[in-house]
Amino acid sequence: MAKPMENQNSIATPISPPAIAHIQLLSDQLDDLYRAMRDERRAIAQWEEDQEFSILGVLELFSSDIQGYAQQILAGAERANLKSRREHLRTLNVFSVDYFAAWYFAQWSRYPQAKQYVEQLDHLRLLVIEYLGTVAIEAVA
Amino acid sequence: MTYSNDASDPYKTELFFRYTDSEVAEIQVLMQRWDQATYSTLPASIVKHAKKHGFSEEYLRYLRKADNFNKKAARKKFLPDGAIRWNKGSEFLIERNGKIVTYGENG
Repeated sequence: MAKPMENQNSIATPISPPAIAHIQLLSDQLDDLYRAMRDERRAIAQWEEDQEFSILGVLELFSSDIQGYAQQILAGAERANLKSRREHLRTLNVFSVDYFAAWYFAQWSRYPQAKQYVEQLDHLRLLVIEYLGTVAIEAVA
Repeated sequence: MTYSNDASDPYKTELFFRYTDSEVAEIQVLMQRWDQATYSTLPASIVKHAKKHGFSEEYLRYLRKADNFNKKAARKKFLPDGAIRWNKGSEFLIERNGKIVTYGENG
């Protein structure tokens, strides 16, 4: 019996619209970036030991929720609860978390890979919001 | 070996693939501690998090490590949306509403 999901991308519904292909690409790139920033994650983890907040915690939590919505789209399950999903995605803005924004904009050149990850994550979030909006419009039309 | 191809959820097929009946039963128990969150299914959430954290095709090991995470002496930090991050050494666990959102290592 053939091994399932030899390529995890193969589970997606046929991807032809550029927006879906873009969501797939960004989501895959995020995981690549995550692995590449291992040294920076270790350094941030040591730095935030003495803090009351967790930058890595926000990143893990928000990336999980945003990539989950992206996964729903790639699995072809994007048509339910469009409004509530877009509203939730609007709250998943890492820059709306005060301590996270302060960390991000302080010492701009530190942790370049982690900050690239943040930018890519927010790009994916905005793309998913836009895509779900398009689906909602098509559903009404 | 138990392998049931579930066309409705390829992630479930991926999660159970290669495992014996008793291991599948253990996976089914351990996965009840996890949060489906925004993923299409609970198996999708677990498979995606395991792959992200370097446990591709080692799903049972990933679930066991998350389950065995010892919160005693772990650093606790509050996150948005009522979530909590537990950190101990290089390991971390994030929970929300009493369910596991993700587990990983930064070391």
